[in-house]
Amino acid sequence: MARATAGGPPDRGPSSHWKSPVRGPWLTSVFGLVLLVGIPVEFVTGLLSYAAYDPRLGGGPNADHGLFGLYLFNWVTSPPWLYRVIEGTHVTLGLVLVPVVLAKLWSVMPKLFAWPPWRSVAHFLERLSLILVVGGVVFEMVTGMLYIDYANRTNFYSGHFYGAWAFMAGFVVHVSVKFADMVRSLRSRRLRTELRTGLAGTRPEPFDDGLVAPVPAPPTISRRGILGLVGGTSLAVFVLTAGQSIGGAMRSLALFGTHYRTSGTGPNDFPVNYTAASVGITPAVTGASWRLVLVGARRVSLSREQLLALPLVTADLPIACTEGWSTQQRWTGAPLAELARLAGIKDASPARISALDSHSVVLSGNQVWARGSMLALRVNGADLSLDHGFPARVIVPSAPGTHNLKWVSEIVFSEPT
Amino acid sequence: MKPLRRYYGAGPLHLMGLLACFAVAAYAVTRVLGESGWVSVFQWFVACLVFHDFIAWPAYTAADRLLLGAQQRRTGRHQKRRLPEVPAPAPVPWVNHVRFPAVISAVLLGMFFPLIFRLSRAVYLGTTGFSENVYLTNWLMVTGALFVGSAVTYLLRLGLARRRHRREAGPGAVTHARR
Repeated sequence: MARATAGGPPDRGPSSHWKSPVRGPWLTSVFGLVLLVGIPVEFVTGLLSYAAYDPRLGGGPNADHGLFGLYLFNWVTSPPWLYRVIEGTHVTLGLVLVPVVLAKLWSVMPKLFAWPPWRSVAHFLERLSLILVVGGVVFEMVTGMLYIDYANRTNFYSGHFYGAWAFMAGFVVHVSVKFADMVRSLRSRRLRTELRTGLAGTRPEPFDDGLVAPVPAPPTISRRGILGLVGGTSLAVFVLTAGQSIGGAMRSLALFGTHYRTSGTGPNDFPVNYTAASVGITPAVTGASWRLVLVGARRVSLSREQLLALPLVTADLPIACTEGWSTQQRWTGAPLAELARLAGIKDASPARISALDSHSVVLSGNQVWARGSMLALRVNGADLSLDHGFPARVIVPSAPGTHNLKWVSEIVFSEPT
Repeated sequence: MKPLRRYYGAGPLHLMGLLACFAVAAYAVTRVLGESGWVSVFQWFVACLVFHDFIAWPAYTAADRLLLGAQQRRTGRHQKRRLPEVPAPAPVPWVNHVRFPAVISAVLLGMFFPLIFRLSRAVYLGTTGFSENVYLTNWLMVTGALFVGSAVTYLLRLGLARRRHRREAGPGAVTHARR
C-alpha cells in the first residue's frame, strides 16, 4: 500500500494507460533507499565544501549565506587530503546518483497524474512539497553538471547552495512521510530472490492503487534487468568520471571528466586550472623584475632568488578544485608562516594574497600558520611552469583549489586581533 | 485534535513539518531571487520540463514500442519457418541488448552535453589548456563499445541457448535447429 499518511478517500490508482509490469512500490523503494543514503552524503559534503571556502573571511565567490551560514566554522588544514576527498565524493557521487534519480522519477511517474489531484488539505500540502523534492533534485543536478563542465552562466555558488536548502526541506518531509511505506515495501520482496529471477519468472507486484499498473503488459525486462540497467549506467558514469579525482591509471579513463589529459610526463605535466595565456600572464611580468611584496608590521620586497635562499619545505599536497578533479604533487617552497615572520607578524593572523592577474584570496590565520602551507616555488624538483603559477604560488593543505593562488605578487598580513 | 484531522486530513505534526519545510524553502528562494540571471534559469527549467514531457518522453516511448514490435515480428517469423514436428529453441529476446547500450549512451549524452556539444569551448580551453573537441569522439567511442559489447553478449547467450536446445532435443533435431 503506497497511500500517503494524509487521509481522505483513496486514490483511484493509475489509469490503464500505465502498463509497465515491473513498476511497483518495491522497485521504487529500492531506488528510494539508495537515494536516502546518497542524498544526505551529498548535502553534508556540499555544506563542508562551502565551509572550506570560509565565506566569512570575504573575498570568495560565495560570501553571501544568510541564516544558512550559521554552521560555518574555521576550516581545517589537516588531514591534507580532506577537501580533496570531500569534493571528489560530492561531485562523483552526485554524478553516479543521476541515473538513480532518473529511475526513481520514472518509477513514480503515474503518481504525477493521479486523480483526484488531492484528497485533503494535508495531501495537497504534501504534493506541493513534492515540487521542492522533484524540482530541487533536478535543479541541483543540472546546476552541478553545468558548473563542472564550465557551461554555467549564473552565480553557481548561491544557486546550488540555496537550492540545496530548499531541496532538503522538501526531502526531509518526503522521507518522514514515506519512510514507513518504504520499509514495508522493501520487506515485501527479497532482493536475493529478485536477483535470481529472470524474465520468465517476472510477475507484477500485487495491485496497490498507487504504482502498479492495473492492466500490466507482458514483461519485456525483469526487475533484476531494471536494477542492472540503472546500476550499469551509474557504473559507466563512475568509470568515465571518477579518475579525475582518484588519479593514477584511472585518470585516463575519465573520458567525460574535464581534467583527464596531461601534456606529457614531465614534472609540470599535471592538470592545469586556468592557463597563463587565459588570464594574460606572460613571461614579461614574471621575469627578473618580479618581486614578492610582504606587508605586515613592516614592508618587505623579495626577489625569487631571495625566496629560494629561505629555509624551504617540501610536501606532497593535492590541488583539488570545486569541479571535483584533483591531483597530488610534490611542492617545495617558503612556509607562509616564515613569510609572516619576515613581515614582522608573530602570531596566527589572516592574510590577503593577491596575484598578477588581479585575483586575490583571503586565508585564515590557522591556514597561514599550518604545517605545509607554503608559497611554492618548485614542483616535483623543477621550477614551476608558467601555467602552474611561476614565479610563486600558494599551496595550503586541505584548501579548495582556488585558494592555491598562482602568480602571487603580494601578501598582506593583518595584525592578530 | 479531532477537528484538525477532519478538516486538515492529518495530525498536527504533519502540518508543522510542512509549514517548516515551506518556510525554509521560501527563505532560500528569496535569497536567490535578488541575484541576476536566476529568472532565466527558472524559465529554462519550465522549458526543459515541457520539452521532456511533450517531446522527449513520447519520443522514447514510441522508440521503445517500435523496438518491441520489431522483436515480436521477428520472433513470430522465426517460429513459423520451423518444421512443426521439430520443437523450436526458446528464442533469446534481443530487445534489452538494444535498450541497455541505448539508455546508457543517452544518459551520458544528457549528462555531458555541454562537453559533447562544446558549449563551453572558450572557457574550457582557457581553464584546461586543451580543446573541447574530443568529447564528441569520446561519446561516440563509448557508445560504439557499449553496442559492440552488448552484441557480443547477445551472441554468447544465443550460442548457449542453441547448445542447450541441441542437448535437450537430441541429435536428430540438430540439422533443423541450425537453420
